[in-house]
Amino acid sequence: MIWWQVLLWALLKLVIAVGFIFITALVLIYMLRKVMGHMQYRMGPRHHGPHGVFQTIFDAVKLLGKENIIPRDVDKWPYLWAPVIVFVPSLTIFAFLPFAENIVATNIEISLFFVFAILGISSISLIMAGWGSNNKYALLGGLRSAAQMMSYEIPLILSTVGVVIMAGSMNLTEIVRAQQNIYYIVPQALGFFIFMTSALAELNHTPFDIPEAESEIVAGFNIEYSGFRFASFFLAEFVNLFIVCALATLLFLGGWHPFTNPVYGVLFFLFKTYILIFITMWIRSTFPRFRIDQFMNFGWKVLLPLSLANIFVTGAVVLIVDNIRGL
Amino acid sequence: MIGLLKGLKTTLKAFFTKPVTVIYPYRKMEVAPRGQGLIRLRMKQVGADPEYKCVACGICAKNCPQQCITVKKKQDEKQPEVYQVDYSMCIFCRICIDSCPFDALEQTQEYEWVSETREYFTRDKEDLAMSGAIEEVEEKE
Amino acid sequence: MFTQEFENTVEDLPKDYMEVNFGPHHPSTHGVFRFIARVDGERIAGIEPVVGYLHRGVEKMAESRTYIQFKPLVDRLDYTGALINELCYCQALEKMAGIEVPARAQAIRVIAAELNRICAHLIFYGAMGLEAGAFTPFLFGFAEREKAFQLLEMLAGGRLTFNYITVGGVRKDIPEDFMKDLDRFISTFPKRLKVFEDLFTGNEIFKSRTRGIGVISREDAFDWAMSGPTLRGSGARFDIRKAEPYSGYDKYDFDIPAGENGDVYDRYLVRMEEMRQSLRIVEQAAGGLPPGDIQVKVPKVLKLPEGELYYRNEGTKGEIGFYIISDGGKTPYRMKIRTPSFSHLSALDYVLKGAYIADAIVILGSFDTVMGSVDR
Repeated sequence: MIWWQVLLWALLKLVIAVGFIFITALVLIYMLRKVMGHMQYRMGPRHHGPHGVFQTIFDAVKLLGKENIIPRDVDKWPYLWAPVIVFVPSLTIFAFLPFAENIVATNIEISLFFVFAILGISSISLIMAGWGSNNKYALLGGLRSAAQMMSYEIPLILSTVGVVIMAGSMNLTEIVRAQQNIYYIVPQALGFFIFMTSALAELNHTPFDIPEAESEIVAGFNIEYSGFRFASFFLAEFVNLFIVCALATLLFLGGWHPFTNPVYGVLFFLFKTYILIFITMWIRSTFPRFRIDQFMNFGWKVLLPLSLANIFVTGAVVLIVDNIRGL
Repeated sequence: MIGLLKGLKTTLKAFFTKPVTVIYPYRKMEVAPRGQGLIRLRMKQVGADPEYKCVACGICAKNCPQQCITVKKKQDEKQPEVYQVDYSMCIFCRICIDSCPFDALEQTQEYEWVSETREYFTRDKEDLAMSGAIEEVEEKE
Repeated sequence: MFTQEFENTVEDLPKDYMEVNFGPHHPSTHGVFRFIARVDGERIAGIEPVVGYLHRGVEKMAESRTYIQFKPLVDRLDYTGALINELCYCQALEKMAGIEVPARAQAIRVIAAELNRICAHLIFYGAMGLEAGAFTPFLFGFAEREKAFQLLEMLAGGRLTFNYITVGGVRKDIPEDFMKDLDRFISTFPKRLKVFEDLFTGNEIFKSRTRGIGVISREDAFDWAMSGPTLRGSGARFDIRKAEPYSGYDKYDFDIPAGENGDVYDRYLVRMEEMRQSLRIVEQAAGGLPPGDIQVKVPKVLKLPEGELYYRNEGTKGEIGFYIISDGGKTPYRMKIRTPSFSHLSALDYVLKGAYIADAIVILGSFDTVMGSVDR
């Protein structure tokens, strides 16, 4: 009798996770439009629902109802599967993120490593979209995104090695528990900065939104997508934003730290994540974008050496402090 | 770095400022008295009924750059029988108002008029008088 | 054995350029402008501009309309700074017909023209933000433009096309509550400009996008017949308002900003500074408005004596000039309009050689072309 209980429990977790993801995506899109609107002396949506809260739902329903257009000479397999593949890593990663003290779908020992491994899969979907649409603009966007994502994954991952050294484990729940005394943003400020910058680059967010640079190659790789396929790319971008900010909260800001009660823990964790998301949207409203070569320079010549230096210094300090304690 | 931080500070200040949006269909911005809009034929009250100040001389029709005014005089009176303005061609330059020697045309601030047919845009003299609008009362000596 | 001599090097391989079409329907070409770029990876090897998508035949229409009937169409050439076009046209007619404009009308013309110049440069500020990738400057610029538009609507009766400046003066005098609102605008605008500059000008990302990009040397700028802020960004302090003053500009005290390097950043700074100088001119003109009438008596149907005349003004984008050939009748025999954007676009191929695609958009934005003026 026990196997179907396990199955039912897994199915329930799946439903909760998928529901949470969609609600998060809707909330984030609404939040972006409102935040960006107010920073530009205007209001965001305001008509549907009080202060426009239902606007995103109506937009999603509208996109669902659009005609299914496939341009003539596209490469069928990459074109049709790219919107699916962009969503799958985001859903998978939710299984490993802890939201409070024991609230995690799957708790494995190397959850941080696994998260990064899966996060890299979403970059191939942009290349598939760029190649599959029979369009020069899309090709340019896809190639730019390939270069960008490849160059910024290394500083992203290396900047978290400092945290792993200090915590002593790759399990995300353990890392949060190890931040009892001090949040890791204080000793690892450089790591935090490198992590957030590389994360913005991975997400194609301003100031690094070159693959979808609207003013030059109008919408880049998703130029030939319409209707629900476009909605899929769009939602996936926001879900990834939430994932990356949640990771930053867990690694650097102490997760749910003071509260061990599950309900309060989840709420405080979400509160910290949303503060980071607000900062991302704030940056998005303010900065122009980099050019592709300046941006590759920045990634390879500045961020990578800095992250390596961070690892070196962290390792040295931890070694020295352990030896002093041992003495 | 300083420039980036200054930019962030500006946007944050803007975030807490009241938005400048005027929610259009429910509230409208005031149009100045000289703003461009439809043209109105002025009326005057001489005898019992109000009449048009226009005497159908045709100067406005001749001067219009787009040739969108059609004027025809009534048989013995100095009143227009047909006075039509085709608003789909009008560019609101107001040369007609400036060139009328009898001061018979006036500017209104109406700028919202939509329709599904093209015939709506050819306004006749009754529409142009905007019946119900203010009538100027003037005694001819 | 590892050092093997190869016969061909990479440079000998046949190169194939990819042709990318930045079509007329594009968010960043100012208006309907098309250019076909041959790119090699991300670098542009050459472009071919295609214009004419907004051609309305204005110069031909001039031959069948009288001078006064043509005046509203002049607004629609450079529609960002319509009053300045009208000013140039009316001054050309006045010079040919020998009409003197009263001092009060000249001062009102200057106020209207400089307010319009501020509006046009605010569009440039917003569009520059969009080309670099930031969305906020666009909305800031347009929110500010609303205030200038309300002033212009009070004075001239329109927001984009006015038909306010007439041959011999202006159409209507200043309304009663105009001076109060103008004073309020003059006092709040410098603070707003400071906010705009804080947001964008010192931004390191913007500077790295625009410094050293699209450099036009001083000699090249003169060779390609550039004028206006595009020329002044390359270091030549030439402004028609100071070189051949008209409409009372010699009475006002203002500086001409000029750049040093001739790159995109300098052209941007020149235009931001010009907004401040325009505000200075408006302040001086509004402060000392002479009394008098605003329009001299002009015959109802204007006939110009036989001859030809070229008259130029400092428009918002550069030098705008009207060349009128008249045969003594009611309509001109030929009216040729010299617009700055047309000359600037002809230099685009030269400036864009070797630039990145992302830079091409930024450089096109710094030329600040408006297609109504290119295509007429």
